[in-house]
Amino acid sequence: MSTIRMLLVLVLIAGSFTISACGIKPWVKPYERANMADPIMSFARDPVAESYKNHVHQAREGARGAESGAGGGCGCN
Amino acid sequence: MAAILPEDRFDILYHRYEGDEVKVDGPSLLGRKAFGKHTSLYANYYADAVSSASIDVRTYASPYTEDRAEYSFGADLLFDTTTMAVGYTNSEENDYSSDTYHFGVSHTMFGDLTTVNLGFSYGDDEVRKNQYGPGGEYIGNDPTFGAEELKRRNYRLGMTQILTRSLIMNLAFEAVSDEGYTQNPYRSALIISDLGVVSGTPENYPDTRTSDAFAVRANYFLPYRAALKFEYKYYEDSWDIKAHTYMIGYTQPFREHWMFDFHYRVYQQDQASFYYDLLPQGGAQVYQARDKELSQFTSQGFGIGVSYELLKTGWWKLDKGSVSFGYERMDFDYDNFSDYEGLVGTTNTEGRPFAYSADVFELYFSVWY
Repeated sequence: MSTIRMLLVLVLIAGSFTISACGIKPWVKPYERANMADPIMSFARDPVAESYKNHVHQAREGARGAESGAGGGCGCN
Repeated sequence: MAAILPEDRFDILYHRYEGDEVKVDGPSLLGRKAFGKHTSLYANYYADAVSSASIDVRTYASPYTEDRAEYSFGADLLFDTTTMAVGYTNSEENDYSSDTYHFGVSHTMFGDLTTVNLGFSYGDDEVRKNQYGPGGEYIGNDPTFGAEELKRRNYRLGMTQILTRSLIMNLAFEAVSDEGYTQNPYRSALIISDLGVVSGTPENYPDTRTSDAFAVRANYFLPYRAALKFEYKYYEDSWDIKAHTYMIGYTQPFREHWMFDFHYRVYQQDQASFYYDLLPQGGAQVYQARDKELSQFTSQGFGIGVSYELLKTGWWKLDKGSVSFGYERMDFDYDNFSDYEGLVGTTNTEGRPFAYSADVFELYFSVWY
């Protein structure tokens, strides 16, 4: 298992314990989420454009994976 | 922020990429529609028309044109706080066929402040090699090459967390494993031959490649209604490539109808262990490659986007629409990939430094219904 995978597993385990230990009370109430509901806060506001940008980067860079928005294979090589 | 199905919308996009004497353009059409309260279906058609005289082509091949068509279909199924997604993508070129099956689950919890998602994709590709006539026209597949296979597996894990009323964060991890023919049948490596001249020699890649990518993203809502966006991504793979991506973005709505986006992105990677710009005399390796995507390089991109919202009060069966334009200027600067155009077959082994700029355009029209 590579370092990055081990780190991720540790972060997730640590995160789960921390959240469980807090008693899980939503600290941002539903009526306080107007900002979050604004489309400008979306991680992928326009899926068609987001997927094209990911494709442009994937086709020209060595790195792949963990793109924003819904990802899939680009079918390119 | 409870689990909801994606919006019903239809997008039609024209995209165009120009850089390093490569032009790629075409349309993308994406439609999505909910059926009942629990099911949303989507379909996407995407096409690339490629015309290439890239540095690889200019160094040891002839310019070519080719088309790629991609079809995707899928469904999202909502059960209370859990969404399941299934999808299928087919991509066809005359020398490459690809089928990908996607599966994902996302679940919201802790008062809808947290969304976790898991995903898996399986891809089955067939790689062929084209034969071209003297004028660059496509003749057919090369029977001596036959067909090679590549199996791809993607494992995704992600979490989106609302931290405050103005701050949201996303953690994403993706492992990808490739098995089979991982190289490009056309590209050559370069070597100094026994006669001392720069010559082409076949590339040879390992049959497997596994990679891990980990990304952190954060969006912050500014009090005057604008958003600041940050992203960092770390990547490493079994070919020894390590890469860092940094992105900062800003979204500013203006008056009632306008939206402006700006972003600056930097990407930096180290080279693969078997990348060689020019192999020395007698220095042929078991694994050797000269793909500039495997070299050490940095790219920078500055992008702007403008969107104008139409039909805000709805029209006919439409709730609203928008027309959007995006432009990104990308600059690629290679540390150890040199320009050997005109030097193959000569004794001049000193390649020139290589860099290029690319212009990426998107124009799209969207309607919500």
